[in-house]
Amino acid sequence: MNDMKTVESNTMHIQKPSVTDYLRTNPVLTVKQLSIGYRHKLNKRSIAANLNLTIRKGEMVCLLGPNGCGKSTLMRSIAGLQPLLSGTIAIQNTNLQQLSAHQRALLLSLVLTEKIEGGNLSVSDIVAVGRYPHTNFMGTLTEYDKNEINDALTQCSLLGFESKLYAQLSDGEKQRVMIARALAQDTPLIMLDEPTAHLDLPHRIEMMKTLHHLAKTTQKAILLSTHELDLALQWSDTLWLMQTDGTIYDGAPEDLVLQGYFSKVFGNESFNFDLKSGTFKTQQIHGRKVNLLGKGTTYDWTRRALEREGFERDHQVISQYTIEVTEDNQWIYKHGNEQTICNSIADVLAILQFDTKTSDTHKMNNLTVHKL
Amino acid sequence: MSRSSIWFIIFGVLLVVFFFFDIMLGSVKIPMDTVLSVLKGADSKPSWHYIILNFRLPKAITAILAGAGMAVTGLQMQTLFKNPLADTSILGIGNGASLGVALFVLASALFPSMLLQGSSLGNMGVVIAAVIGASVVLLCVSAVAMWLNDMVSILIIGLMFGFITGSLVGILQYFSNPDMIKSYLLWTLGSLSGVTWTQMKILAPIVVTALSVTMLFPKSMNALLLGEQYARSVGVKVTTMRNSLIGLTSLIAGTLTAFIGPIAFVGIAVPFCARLLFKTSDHRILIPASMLCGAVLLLFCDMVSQLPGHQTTLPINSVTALIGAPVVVAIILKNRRNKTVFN
Repeated sequence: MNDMKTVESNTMHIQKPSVTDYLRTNPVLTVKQLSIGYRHKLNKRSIAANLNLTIRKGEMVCLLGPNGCGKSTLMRSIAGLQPLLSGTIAIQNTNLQQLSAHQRALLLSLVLTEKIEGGNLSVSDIVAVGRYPHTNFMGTLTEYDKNEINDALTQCSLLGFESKLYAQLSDGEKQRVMIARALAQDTPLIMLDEPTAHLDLPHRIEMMKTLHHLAKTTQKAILLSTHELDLALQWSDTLWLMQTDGTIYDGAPEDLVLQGYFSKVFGNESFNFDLKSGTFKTQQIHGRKVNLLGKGTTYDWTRRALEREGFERDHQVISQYTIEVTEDNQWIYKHGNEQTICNSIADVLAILQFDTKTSDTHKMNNLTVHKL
Repeated sequence: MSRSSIWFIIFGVLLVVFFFFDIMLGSVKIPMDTVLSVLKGADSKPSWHYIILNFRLPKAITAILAGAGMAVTGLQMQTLFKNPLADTSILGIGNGASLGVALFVLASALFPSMLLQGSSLGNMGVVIAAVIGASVVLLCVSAVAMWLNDMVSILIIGLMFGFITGSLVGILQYFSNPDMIKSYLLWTLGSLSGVTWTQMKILAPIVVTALSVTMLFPKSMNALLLGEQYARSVGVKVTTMRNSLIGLTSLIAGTLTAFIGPIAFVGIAVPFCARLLFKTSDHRILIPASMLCGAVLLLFCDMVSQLPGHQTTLPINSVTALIGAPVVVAIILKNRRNKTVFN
C-alpha cells in the first residue's frame, strides 16, 4: 500500500477519432501524468496514478464514481488544495503549481459542499466575494464588478434576492448563490464538489440543467463530482468514470454505457447495469419463478416489484405461480387450484411470499425426512 | 442615508460628548467651560489644571484606546475562530499577563530572596511583568499556530495555556500573604486611571499602530466568513493572514492588559452589538464600528465608575459587565426574531 503503484497508464481513452482530438487541441484544463494521493513522511499512499485528462471550453464534465474511489482527492488536487504526488495540472497552458494563490483564483473557482454559516451575509455580499481576485486591497467594487455580479445573479435566476440574508434561503437557493459567486469570479474553469448533495430530486435535475446551460452560454469549462449516476448520464458532455482502484475511463456517457464500463465500475454480484433502461437492476434471483401476464403501466410496475423481491419471470407457464394483471387494475393470483383476487401489489407480494416460503419449508422438511 | 452611516454619526457624537463628560466628572466636579479652556491651553485654577491634564485626560484617552482595541481584537478572534464567543482570552493572552503580574506581585512569598515586591518597583514593574507574561504566551501560541494548520487545535491549545497559567497563579496565591493577594486582585479588577503620560508614550503608539494595520485586513476577513477553503479559492493567503491577525491581536491585547488589567467583557459584547446594530458582516464597516462602540462603551462605564458625588471609584472591569451585560441582553431580546445573529 505504501509504495506507488506502477501502472502503465491508468486513464483509458475510449475511441479517439480525429474529430475528438481536434476538439481537444486547445483545452481549458489539461491533466498530464498526474498521480494523486497522500504523502506522510517517507510513505506515499497513491490513490490514482498516471491520469491524463482534458476539459475544453463550454464542456461540462462529471466525475462519477462509487463512494471512496478518490473523487474528492482528485477534485482537491486539481483545485490546488492538496499537493500532487507527481505530474502536472494546467489551466489554459499555465501550470497551476507555479502560480500564487491570487493568480490561481483568476483561473479556477470552486463550489464546495462545506456549508457556510451565513450570519448577516446577504446574497450580494457572498457573490461579491467572487470578485475579490479582481478588486483592490480594500475590496472596493467598480461599476464593472457590479455588472459582473449582476450578470452572475441573473444567470442563476437570483435577481431580486440581492438583499436577502443567505441564512434564510432554502438549500437549492443557497447552492445557486454559491454558483453565482463562482461565476462572478469569472474563471475559465469552475469546479463543483457534489453540487446536488443537499437537494431533492426536482432541484437536482434543475441544478444539472442550469449547470449544463451555463457551460453552453458562458463557454466556461465545468467540472463537477457526483455519485448520482442517472443525473451524470443524462447531463454531462463527458464523463470521467472513476473506478475504486483509481482508474478513470473518460468519454461520452453513452459510449461508456455501450462499452460496458458502467457495469465494470458500479456493478457487483447483487446488481447489474441494465443497458436498456440505463439503471441498475438487482440480481437477487433465488430461483423462484412466477408467470406474469398482462400489459400496460400496471404490468411494468408489478414486474419491478417482483424483480425487487427476487422473483424471476417465467414465460414458459411451467411455474406453479401465476399473476394476471387485469384491465381494471386488479391482480388475479393463481397457485395450484387456488385463485385469489388482489387489489394491490402489496397484497400480491404478501401472498406470494407466504406461499413460496411455506413450500420452501415443506421442501426443507422433506429433506430432513430423507436424511433421517 | 444608509443604516450604517446613521449609526456612525450617532456613535461619533456620543464619543465626543462622553469624552468631555468623562473629563468633567469625578470626585472633584469641574465645570465644562473650564475643561474646554484648559484643553485649549488656557490658564485656570492650578489644581484643576493638574487634575485635567495629568489625570483625567490620559484616563479618557486610555478608555478610548482600550475600548477600541479590545473590541477589535474580539472581532478578529470571532472571525478567525468562526465563533461569536471568542475573544483574546481564547489565545490565553490575558492569562499570560496575569501570570506575569502574579509572579511579580506574589513571587516574593515563594522566593523571599528575590526582592520583586510591587512597592519597590512601582506601577511600571507590574506593566513590565504583564508584557513579559503576555509575550511569552503570545510567542508560544503563534509558534503553535504556525506549526498546526487547524483552528480548533489552536483554540484548545490556547485554552490549555489558560489552564496552566491559571493554576500557576493559584499556586502562587496559595503561598502568598493576604496583602499581596489583594494587590494582585486589584490589578485583575482593572483600572484606567493608572496610565501616566510616560506610560501613554508606550501604550498609545503600539495600540494606534496595531489598530491601523488591522484596517488593512477587512477584505480577507470578509472572505474568511465563507470558510478557509473559499477564502483560499479567491486568492487569500489564509495562513499568512491568520498569523498576522493573531500577532496583531496579541500585541494589542497584551499591551492593554499590561497597562489596565484584564478587560474581559468588551471583546465579546461590542462586536456582537455592532453586528446587530449595523446589520452587516462586512468588516469594512464592522472594524470601525466596533472601535467606535468599544470606545463609547468604555468611556460611559468609566463615567459611571466615578460614582458622581462620591469619592470612591468602582473597578472598571466590574462596571463594564454590570452595564454592558443588560445592554447586550436588551439588544438580543429586541432582535429575537433575527435567529442567526452570528457569523
